[in-house]
Amino acid sequence: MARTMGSRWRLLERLRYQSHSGRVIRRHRALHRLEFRRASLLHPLILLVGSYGLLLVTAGLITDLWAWEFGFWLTRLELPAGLETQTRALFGPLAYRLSIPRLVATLPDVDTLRLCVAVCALLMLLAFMTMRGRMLPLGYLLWGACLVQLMSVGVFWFAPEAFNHTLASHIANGLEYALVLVFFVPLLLSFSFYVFEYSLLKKAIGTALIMLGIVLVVPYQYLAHVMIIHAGGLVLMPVLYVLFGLLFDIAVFIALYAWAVSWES
Amino acid sequence: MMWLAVFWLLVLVVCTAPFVPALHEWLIGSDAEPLVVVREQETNIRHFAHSFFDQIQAFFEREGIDTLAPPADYEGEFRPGQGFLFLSPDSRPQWSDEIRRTRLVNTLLIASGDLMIEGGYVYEQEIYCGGQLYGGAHSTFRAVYAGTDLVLGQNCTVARWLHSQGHVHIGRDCTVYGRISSTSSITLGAGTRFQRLNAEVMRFASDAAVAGGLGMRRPKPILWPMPDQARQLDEHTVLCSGDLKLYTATRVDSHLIAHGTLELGTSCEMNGNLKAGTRLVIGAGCVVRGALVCPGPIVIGPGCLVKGPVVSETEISIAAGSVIGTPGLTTTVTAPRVRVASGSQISGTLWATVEGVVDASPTRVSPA
Amino acid sequence: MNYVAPDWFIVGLKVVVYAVLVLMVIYTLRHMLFTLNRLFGRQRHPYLDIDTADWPQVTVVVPAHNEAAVIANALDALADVDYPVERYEVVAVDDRSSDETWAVMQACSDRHPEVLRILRRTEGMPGKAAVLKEVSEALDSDILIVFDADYVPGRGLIKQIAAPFFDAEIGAVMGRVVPHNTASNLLTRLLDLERAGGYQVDQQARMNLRLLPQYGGSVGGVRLSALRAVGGWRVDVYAEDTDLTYRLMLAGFKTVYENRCECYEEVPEVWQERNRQIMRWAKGHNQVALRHLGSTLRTSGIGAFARLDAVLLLGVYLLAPLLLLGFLCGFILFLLGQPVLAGSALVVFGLVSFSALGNYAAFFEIAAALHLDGSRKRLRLLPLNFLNFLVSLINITRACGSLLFDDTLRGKQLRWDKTARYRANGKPP
Repeated sequence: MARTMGSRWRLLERLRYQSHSGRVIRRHRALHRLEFRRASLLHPLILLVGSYGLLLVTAGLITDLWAWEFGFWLTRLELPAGLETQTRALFGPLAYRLSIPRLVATLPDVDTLRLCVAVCALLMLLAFMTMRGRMLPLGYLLWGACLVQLMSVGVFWFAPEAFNHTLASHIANGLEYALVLVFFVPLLLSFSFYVFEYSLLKKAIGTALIMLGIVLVVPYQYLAHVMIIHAGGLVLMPVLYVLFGLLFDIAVFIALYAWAVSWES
Repeated sequence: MMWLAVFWLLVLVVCTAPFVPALHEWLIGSDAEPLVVVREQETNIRHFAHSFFDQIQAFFEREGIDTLAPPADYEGEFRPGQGFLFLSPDSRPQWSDEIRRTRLVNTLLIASGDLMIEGGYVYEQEIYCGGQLYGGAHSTFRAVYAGTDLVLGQNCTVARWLHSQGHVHIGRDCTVYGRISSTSSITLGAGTRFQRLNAEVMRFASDAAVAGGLGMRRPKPILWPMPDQARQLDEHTVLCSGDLKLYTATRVDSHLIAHGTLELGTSCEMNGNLKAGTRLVIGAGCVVRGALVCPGPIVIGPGCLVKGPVVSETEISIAAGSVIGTPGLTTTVTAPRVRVASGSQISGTLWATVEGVVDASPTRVSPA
Repeated sequence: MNYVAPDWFIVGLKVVVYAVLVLMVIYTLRHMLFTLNRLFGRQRHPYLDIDTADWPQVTVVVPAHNEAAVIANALDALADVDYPVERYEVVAVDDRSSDETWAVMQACSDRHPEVLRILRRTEGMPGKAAVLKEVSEALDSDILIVFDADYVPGRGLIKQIAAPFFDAEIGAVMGRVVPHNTASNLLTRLLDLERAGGYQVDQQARMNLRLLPQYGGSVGGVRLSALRAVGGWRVDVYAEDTDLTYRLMLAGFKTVYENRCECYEEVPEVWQERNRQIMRWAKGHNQVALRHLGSTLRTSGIGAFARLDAVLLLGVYLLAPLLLLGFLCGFILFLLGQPVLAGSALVVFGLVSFSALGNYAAFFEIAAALHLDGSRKRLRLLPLNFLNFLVSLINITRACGSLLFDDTLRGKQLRWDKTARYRANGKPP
């Protein structure tokens, strides 16, 4: 009897909610919402526990990978630098060893600062004159970068001793922020990705790919910082900090997140 | 030098790679078209019935069928993968042994005239009937279109829609999901569960004339004196911040809002819209020439006449003998759950978004 | 001599950074709540099912200034709606156009004499608010519905907008606008994402949670008696629609949002036009904030949560300058060798800043909106919305400055900017 009732119910559900082609008849987008199923709660829980368990085990491997990448490229690029190891506490008792390239970066002299001002003025003029219409956002970006650079020049000109960052501390901070961001990924996805109607496997793959993406970008990003600051001096550090530091890592996260949530369920 | 070039190339590739899907979507524009805004009214209750009717007319044209001189019964393909069975007037479908055994009909039925079908079957495809349709008892239908009257016996189920160009009579204890419409009247048997109904006249559990409603004798109402707790919201509207109870035979000539419970005594006359914040109770024999709106439950007592829409976000109970809307001036009754008592009448649309039920026993007006 | 910044200066900078961080976290949590509510909460569409009734008298007003390219489609569509003709009229107002608008309107009037009335303004204050004020004072309808000249409504839209007014407490109704020129370029595609987040999630969640959905001035209606009770249209504000939303709320009326009530609109196709638009919105919104913040905080007509959200809604266009200030203070701290924020707090700052993308449509809110819309691939453009964010950030800040210095301190007169039209053949898809 129960079996008969069950099959009759299934048949009725099919008749009510399936079209002739067998597709589910969806409510209009204005009225549509997601069903809160057991998975809506279980998936975030499983993935949070799983991701953080895995991260606790592999975070050391991530910093080891970064150290290996730094070592590999410092040798190939014949840079006069060794690797310095720093231990950084992330969240309370959680501490990780970060390997930082130890390289000299010089304070700018007056001529360099003058050159910076001239280049910024030229770029701002160029952006003002040419970057209109479709190029306007790039013009804004260039203006923003130039203003950041001019502020830095001001500090290096009038109070260079106030700027106490070294290349090593800059890289160490950047790596720490990136690692914190990787730790934040499952938490961010718990309400922004795991709630959607994807299978657990897709959600797990999405999480892994987003974290892997950030992990792979970071050493190249900060090696680029090392190369640029080593060649151009500390005067370039602030603009890299603002435009190509943590905000860039977050943009990478958003880009990979956007890709993952665009998948079909 | 080579390593330097390789390094910068890798920096470029690695840092750009996450943005490739974004750049690809920007440049290729695979999902750049605007969302489709439907300009016609697919919210119209008869939308599916009308589209199906148009498909049937196109089918008749395609097959060269003259409905005045229809051919003999034959089978074919209506849509790719969907068969049909054409039935000439007064002919009855002859099912195979397999169908008789499973009681499952997976063929679209098209009858040019009247149609009488056997009860106890599941009709997985639509049924079109140019004349009267007798659907038998204990059957399940996906969707049905009848050119004139339509009668379903007890315990039938309709899954998506049902439309008749004449009267619709649905027997006891049926379940009619989706949209049920008629160009003249619908009668639902006691214990029938429904969702969306639309007709000039809808009667519940009884074909008898409405008991109270229009014909009831009422005392002459007295104009309501606005209490201190109320204030004029605009020139037509009075707002009362708490609960409000109107005495028997009170007349109000404006829209009335109570943030709490609004309860009308018997035989009140309201010439405006009513809104309650938590609960709206209309006493027996009241006349409301306006709408009833409440996020909480609305209880309409016996013998009331309501001319405007009745909207609740939880439930509506309509007691015996009440009349909502009139055939010349139809209206809408809508809530997730609706209970309609035997002997009441509604003209227009009755929409229970979760479930409605025809209650054979009279609905009691619960105290506020 | 070594330069050492004074302690008070460093502390001041840190206080600003932390204050901005806290504010941004509050707004991010608000949008997170909206998103989860829209995805899983009970969706409120109480008036959507009213399809037959004794409909109220409705007047649709279409203000037009140099709209010859688009207005015929709008008026033809408005004349063809499913609404009792004896309860319905369309009033098209040519506000001193210099193109063929008046001639096009006359031709439309000849085609639909039973519903269409045309008026021509040659004097008085220019602008949409002035048109609405003048027309609404002379009307005896129950409901006033406003459409811009480039909107082409579907047949059932007028009933959908009119239906909520059966609720005596409703003062205004707002529908969803859907951009139709999405495929034009990157800007229109980014604005499409922003609109989706704003309407599909933000407005509907506010409707669900009984907060304050915003009346947007087009694809919406106002109860005329309510409008008169709160003093009619104001012509001395940049955002007469937002101003009306707050005045209605303070008087005890409610505004509802109808997500199913969709209508196409045209979004700016060039950045300069977008800048003008967002600056106008920002100025108008902040003007409303200045006028109504005190009374919104004091009002007892709504619950504490609704009041808090109404206050937060007033503040949305102040976030851009505050965020910029936060960035600036953080950067100065960095330059002075001071730790900006602890590692994780800085990451949170970065993330919540990204949540304020564009016109405050958080990235997860846009993702939810497009999932509900069933249109996911366009989500991949999300990282490029950074460009929209940057442009909005700067221009909203400019608008705040302009409101403070030009309008408030120097008493500059209001000037209306008309939104440019891009449609060549006048017809949306």
